[in-house]
Amino acid sequence: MRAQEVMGVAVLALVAFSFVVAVAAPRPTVPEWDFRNWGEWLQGWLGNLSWGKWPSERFFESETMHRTFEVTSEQIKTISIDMGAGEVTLRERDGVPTIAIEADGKDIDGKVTEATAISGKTEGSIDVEIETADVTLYIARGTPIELLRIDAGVGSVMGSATLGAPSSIWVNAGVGAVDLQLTVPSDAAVSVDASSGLGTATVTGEGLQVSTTGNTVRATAEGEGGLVSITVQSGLGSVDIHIRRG
Amino acid sequence: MSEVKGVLYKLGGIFIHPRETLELLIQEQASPVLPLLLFSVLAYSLGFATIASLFNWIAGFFAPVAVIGGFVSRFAGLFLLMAALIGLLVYVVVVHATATILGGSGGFGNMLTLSAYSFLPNAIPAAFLAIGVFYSGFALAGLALGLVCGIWTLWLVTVSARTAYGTDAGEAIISTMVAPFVVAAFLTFLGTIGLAIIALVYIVLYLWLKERRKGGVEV
Repeated sequence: MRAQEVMGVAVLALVAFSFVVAVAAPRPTVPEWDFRNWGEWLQGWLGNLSWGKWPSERFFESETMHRTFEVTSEQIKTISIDMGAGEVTLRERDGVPTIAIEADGKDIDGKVTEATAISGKTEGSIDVEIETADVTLYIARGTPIELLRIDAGVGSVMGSATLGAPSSIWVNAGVGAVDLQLTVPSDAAVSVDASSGLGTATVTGEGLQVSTTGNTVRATAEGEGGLVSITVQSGLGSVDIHIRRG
Repeated sequence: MSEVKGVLYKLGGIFIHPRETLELLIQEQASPVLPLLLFSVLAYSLGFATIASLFNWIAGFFAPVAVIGGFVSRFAGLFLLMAALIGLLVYVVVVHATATILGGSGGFGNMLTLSAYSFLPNAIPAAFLAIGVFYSGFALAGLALGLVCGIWTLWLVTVSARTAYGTDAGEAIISTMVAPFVVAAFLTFLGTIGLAIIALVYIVLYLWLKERRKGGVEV
């Protein structure tokens, strides 16, 4: 074949590829979306902007971000998961030193091994950006975490984990629900800030002093063994947090 | 088989030996069906992929946009397809009229065929933008490549005008770049009045130059 013919095949392949994508590309979807709730959702979402910031920006101005912890070599400094859609599930797993991340059942810990996931690992921090996959985050029992940041976009965040202290968790589920069962050290101080724009927010746990303002629930518990700080918000879905001391 | 090879040869030739290939297409009086089909497919793909990539990027931080993204992307594809086909026809009419006034001789159909072939380099940004629907970094690369391939297309159209009408480079540039730009500016800013002015100017110029050439022959 002459060079022109080879080039001709390449051109037809490019045209065909772009057309197939244009015809067959998956349409973006929002799970469990109810159009009737559009106005209410917007109202709730705007409620999260009460400081005149995007919800995620608001977090970075909070004191949680600026708090300094003493970090040992075994601690994870930062885990950041950015999701377009899909669910994030927390799970405990014994025998792993720190954490492991799976997207649609495949391990993506610190490496790009999944077509739908981009991840990079720098010293002491893990950043994962995922379009639509369901993610499972395995945390070794009792691991202290300086910052676990999950921005689930339209997906839900659920599951259970046993955290060490000090730990800081920030979760944003724009549309989806948040349902977490967290076990903290028996001597840890606890600070929970949970808000849900449209749905309900509940925080339950042993020895927690709970106060409710609208759809925002704040809960604290005193302790000497380091602070476990939990900040959770959901624009549309409900928020359920249960804290257990172990 | 040889026909298929011939088609592939011409498609690839636009990229590798454009002048020779455009000359060959004129000599063969090539049909406009295949290039117009490819032009339409590319216009649809470019429109869809650009808008879909944009919506997916916005949905990353403002999820509800995803609800309308799928519909709008497809609408954009169809809209750009229709706009591109109409635009191509209008563009070739302007090029044909200008080149003819400037003394070129050639068929409208030939120029339409060559112009549609000249759009082929846009297959490269179209493919990048298609990947960009899933990975937004590719969409940015696709837009940058679109700029480069747009200039490439303009150059190919100018070579096409030279080949189709036998004009020199300056006349080809006036026909393919200057005149369409002036016409677009008149239509944009003056609307129907602009269209009337352009039509009048073209008719007067055509008649005047026709008389002048006739006079030249008599002398």
